Amino acid sequence: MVPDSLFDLGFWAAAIELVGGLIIVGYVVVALWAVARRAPERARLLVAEGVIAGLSFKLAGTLLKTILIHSWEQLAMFVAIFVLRFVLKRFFEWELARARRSERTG
Amino acid sequence: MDLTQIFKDLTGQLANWVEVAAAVIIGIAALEATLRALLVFVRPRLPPEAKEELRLGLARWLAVALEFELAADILRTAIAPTLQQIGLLAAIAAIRTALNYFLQKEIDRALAREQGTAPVVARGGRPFGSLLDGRPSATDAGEPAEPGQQHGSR
Repeated sequence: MVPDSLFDLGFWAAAIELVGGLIIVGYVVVALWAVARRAPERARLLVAEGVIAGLSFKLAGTLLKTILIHSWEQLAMFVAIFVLRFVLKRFFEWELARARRSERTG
Repeated sequence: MDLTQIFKDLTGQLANWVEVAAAVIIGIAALEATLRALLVFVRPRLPPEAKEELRLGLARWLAVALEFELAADILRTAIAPTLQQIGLLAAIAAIRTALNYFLQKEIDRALAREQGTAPVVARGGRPFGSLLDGRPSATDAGEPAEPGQQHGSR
């Protein structure tokens, strides 16, 4: 018995995106531990690392979804999500570089 | 309910919990800052740096909470079903990103004032510097640049 969803690309895209989400949440949980130890810079570094790692998975899921685009509205939604994630990724990359530099210099 | 919908619901729940964590951080930081402000108020002999330290401490925790909220926004991009909701999410994310950026600039300026050096953020460039002036940034190369190597230092 193979569930129908196994042949559904939308299912696999959602599954890959969920893995990305779980990676982000995993890093957030570790960052919470850093918050509890009163290390805000370490917490920010962890969140930035988690978001960048998770976004790579989310990008894979989004690319899989492009196969399912059949209308201009779907395309517009895809572009909007893609741009939003791109901008946020740029911000987190800057944040990661800044946090690493800050950690190095103490 | 199909599995795809279950995954989306789970992602929504995760985003909610990350936002709860951010709210708890903001709440505790505000409470701590209030208590410290009361201490500064009842002890007028404390040096002026005590006030700056108080403000900086709160700013640091707010920046952490903003990052948590941005992480929740990214999780939500997987479940925003309409263009209007994505637009709203983008607007909120833009506000949070700008707040985080300017908060960091303020922290760096305050630290520089304390140490009498150039602000760290000025040495570290801007998040979209390479896009704005067409030059590769530190993060484009995959490695953070050394202080003074980026265009932000000019």
